[in-house]
Amino acid sequence: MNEGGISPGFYTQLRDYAELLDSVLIQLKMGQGSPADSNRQQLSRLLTGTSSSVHEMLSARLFQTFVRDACKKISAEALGKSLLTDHVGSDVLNALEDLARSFEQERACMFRKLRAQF
Amino acid sequence: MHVSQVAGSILMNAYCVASLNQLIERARILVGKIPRSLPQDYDTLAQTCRQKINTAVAQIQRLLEEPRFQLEQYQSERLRSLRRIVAELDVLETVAIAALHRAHEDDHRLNAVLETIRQEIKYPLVRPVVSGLSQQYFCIHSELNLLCVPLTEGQFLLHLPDLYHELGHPLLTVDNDPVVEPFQRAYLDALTEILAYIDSEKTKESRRRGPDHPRFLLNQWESTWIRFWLTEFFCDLFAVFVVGPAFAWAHLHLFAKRGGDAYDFPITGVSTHPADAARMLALLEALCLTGFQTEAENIETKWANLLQHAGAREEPEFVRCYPRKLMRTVAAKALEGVRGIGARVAEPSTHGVIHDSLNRAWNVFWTDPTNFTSWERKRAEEVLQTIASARNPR
Repeated sequence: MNEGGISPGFYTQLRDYAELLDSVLIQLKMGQGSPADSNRQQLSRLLTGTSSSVHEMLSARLFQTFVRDACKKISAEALGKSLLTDHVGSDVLNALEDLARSFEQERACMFRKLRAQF
Repeated sequence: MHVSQVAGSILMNAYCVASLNQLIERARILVGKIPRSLPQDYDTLAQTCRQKINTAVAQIQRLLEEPRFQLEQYQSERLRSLRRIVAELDVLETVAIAALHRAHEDDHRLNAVLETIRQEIKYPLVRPVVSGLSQQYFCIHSELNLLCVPLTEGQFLLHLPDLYHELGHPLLTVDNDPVVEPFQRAYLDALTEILAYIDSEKTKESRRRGPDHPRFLLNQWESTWIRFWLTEFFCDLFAVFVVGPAFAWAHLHLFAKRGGDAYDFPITGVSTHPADAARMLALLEALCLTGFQTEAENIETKWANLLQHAGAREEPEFVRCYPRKLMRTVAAKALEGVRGIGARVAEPSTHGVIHDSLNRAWNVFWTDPTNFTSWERKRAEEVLQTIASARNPR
């Protein structure tokens, strides 16, 4: 977009974050998976900003601006580190639930704006 | 489980079963709408649509069939997932398949133009498909590799430099491609410089112990730089580095016709695009980096005149939000990135059919305004014929 409006690429990133959060949440709620699971690892890297890939580092910067706004009870870094432990407590699970809801609201809001541009 | 939770789960299930089955039907109809007789230029878009629809159907089937999605505790995730799939199908229907379904001779010509641009600037990614279906302005859907332009834009030359801006977006979103990583790394370096600058301003504010508003503003700017602005600056800079002054002129033209406050900066919320004056500042810096000082001075003079007539006034906070030194750094980083990916950097000696036409158009625009329209019509037709005969030699 060269003029005002939401960039479709920005929306896509939000949607991907929302999907990643939900997939990790489902796994954790089921009591399945391990810290070595790829989705958990990816979410952890986004939260802690510890990626070695250039593209993921860019993505982490963006992701963290949303986490900072949405997650007041626990820091992004603490959340990310918890995902790499065997036992993920209910406080982390609740924080991830809040974050997933917040991302979904942001995604839906951005989508409404984007759709108005079509 | 509480009785009301069980009842809620049953209700949600009933809703999901009907709704998800209907979505599968919608997805199948969409596949049926993909035309089968379009030119090869559209193959990548048609294939992307099929893949995305198939992925959506697979996700819908998971939501319908996996036993866990019958349980109350997973209904929130199920609903969120359903909504995302609906949004995905909305985009495919209203943007991608609509572009295929209504592809027209004008679109075919624009695709030929974009292919020539790709070759001229040594663009390192697959060329997007172009559609004249945009309701707003130029816009790229990187995930679909689809570039939408307003219906009549292909008939004119002055705004076509904006195609180059849109080509910048996929360079920042593509993953695992070492060829484009230099551009992404340059972006990260520029972002680091910007965040360091904002941090230093925050430190100054905390020493002052004044009102909260300046600190709030700095936090807003930080988020907005990361979320939106730097991407737009980098796409502008990619454009000006590969096509030269024509892009800065196109920016002036867009502002003259549709601009608001050139020195706008967010006071309460966020703005998705940086201020027009800041964008021009970065473009002028960029032109000076590539040997276009004379053109930069000419554009700056006309820009200043335009701002005067638009009644634009620079506020001190604007300078704080977009300091010239920072704009210069961002421009220099972007140039490193463009060179790093092997794209052609335009210089005064650069030539190419599209490149020459777009830059020449602005010379004629200013030197012979009365006859410009007829010159543009003739030149646009000549360009299209040149491209067509190069693509289909006899």
